[in-house]
Amino acid sequence: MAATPPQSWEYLETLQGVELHRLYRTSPPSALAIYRKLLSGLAKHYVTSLLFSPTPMPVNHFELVTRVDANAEKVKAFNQLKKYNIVRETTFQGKRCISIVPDFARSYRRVLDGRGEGNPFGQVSSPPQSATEPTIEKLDAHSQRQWDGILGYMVGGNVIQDLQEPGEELPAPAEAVVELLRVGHLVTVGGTQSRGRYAMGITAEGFAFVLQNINTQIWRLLFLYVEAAEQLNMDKIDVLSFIFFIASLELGLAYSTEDLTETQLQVLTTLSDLGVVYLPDNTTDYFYPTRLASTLTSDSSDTLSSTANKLSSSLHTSSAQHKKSIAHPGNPTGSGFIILETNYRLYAYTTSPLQIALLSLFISLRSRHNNLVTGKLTKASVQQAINTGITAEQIISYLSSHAHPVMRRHAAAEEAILQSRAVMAAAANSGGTTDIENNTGVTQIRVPVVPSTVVDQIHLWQLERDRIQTTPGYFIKEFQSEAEYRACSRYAEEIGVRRWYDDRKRMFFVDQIEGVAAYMKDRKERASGTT
Amino acid sequence: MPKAVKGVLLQCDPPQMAMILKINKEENNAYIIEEISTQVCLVKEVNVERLKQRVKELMDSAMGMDGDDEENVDSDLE
Repeated sequence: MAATPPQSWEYLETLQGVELHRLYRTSPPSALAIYRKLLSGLAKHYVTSLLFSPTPMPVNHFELVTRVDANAEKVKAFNQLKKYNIVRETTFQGKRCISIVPDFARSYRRVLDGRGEGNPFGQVSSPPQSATEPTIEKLDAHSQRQWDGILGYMVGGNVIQDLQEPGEELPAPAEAVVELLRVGHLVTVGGTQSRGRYAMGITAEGFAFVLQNINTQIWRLLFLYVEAAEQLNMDKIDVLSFIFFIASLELGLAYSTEDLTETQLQVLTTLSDLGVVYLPDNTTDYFYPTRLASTLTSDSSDTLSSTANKLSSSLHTSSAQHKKSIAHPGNPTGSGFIILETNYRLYAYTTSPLQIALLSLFISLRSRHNNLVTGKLTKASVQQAINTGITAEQIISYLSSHAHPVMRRHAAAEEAILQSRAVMAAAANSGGTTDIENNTGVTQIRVPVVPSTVVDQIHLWQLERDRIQTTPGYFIKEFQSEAEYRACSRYAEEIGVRRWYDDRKRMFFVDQIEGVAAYMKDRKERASGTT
Repeated sequence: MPKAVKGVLLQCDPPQMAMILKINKEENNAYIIEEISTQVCLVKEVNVERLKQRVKELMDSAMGMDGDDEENVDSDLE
């Protein structure tokens, strides 16, 4: 997760330097969140070594602490740090140096040593004795309900209404949330009103959105909210720093609303609509962050997937009927409900109207039973999904993250068989001298949870429709000499912008020209200097 | 001095490229800046989406979307 920040985080790159500085200065949790969630391992390392250094560090210091063959990563790490205004280049005692931006350093040091006025991580409040404190399960249920309501609204209220049992309707999302979805082009809201609601349709982006994991989804909405903040007369940096603040709170504790500003209280209401925090009905003195909040800036994929599991498991256990009909043996969190066979048939043990509606996006459903829906992946159903903007990868990742434990066990068993066979073969090849236990020479075999025939076929179906790849950028050609071409082309590859090249024709293609142009100019100047 | 040309790098398989060339020729070079090989060419940025749309239309009419009838039949389930 940490290696590839979700698309929505790119929003932060659009902030002005001044805004980032203000964010760092006013809010230690923001500094922590950006450090935790966005920086690569190497970038974190550089920040840590700069953090308590009283003077800027010479550039060559960083060459000493970085492996020679990791030059590309080093350039990437520094670009990242400069983009987020965490470090800058300076000259100190006549040498080129890197220094850490004081605003960031001060806030981040405060996170580490906890000095300074007040507690940047919120005032824990103890609710009055009479109040019933919500349990963690109740908080989970709250996030789940709100979130299901939003997704349910997106995949089409009508389908869901037909599927759900009376008395178990999903809550309708709040006005403000619907507005966010519309602004973010995830849904379109039409002009004609029917049955008291405006007609709505989901967009291609929206389809892709509903199949993503919950953390990506929620950040997408939060960044949309930050962007829209100015129209609601709020300052976007205030909103952003408050969201990072919420993300640093602890699950299951009550926090006081006493010190919050007007803006922050307003944000709190919206966060409650999204299920990120829980506001008790009878009082406004304190609030509870939910599991969604505490994992917002987590960079461990384990926590993220366990959140997804905890929340999605209640998706299909929420129905009473379901509870008595099937229990997952030995798997209390119920990590999945989908069984997909190699012949493309699919059996989904779910009663959740939301899940059924999601499946119907890319599966041709055949029948529905008490606790089960059956269907089949067909060329038509997959291509229809692809036409609406869902990718093959999204379908596959949805299927594998919701795979039934039986499928996981099956894949694991297959893996073990193949592995032992490979070890035997290796032992036989080396004349039986190799110790079977010591299988270091044998590559690890991975069996995907979703049958590989199905995975391949979904990809092929997508490829059939989508065989053209396009990359906008700059095409660089007509190099005078082989040496010049080689040097430029290699540089472009090192900084990670080269997308295509042809050594014979001496031409290559980059998606960003600035770095290469500077390099070529530099080279030319050096060349003219020496001659 | 090397030359830099702004545009969109288009990569696809040779059959698709044949279609692209055909469309390009029919519309008086509205799309392609430079043909590089049977799998790569450089196209004008403003027209990329229209080109993709044209290729899709051409494919639909060439292959016909009725080719998947037999796949929806599940004889042993009936």
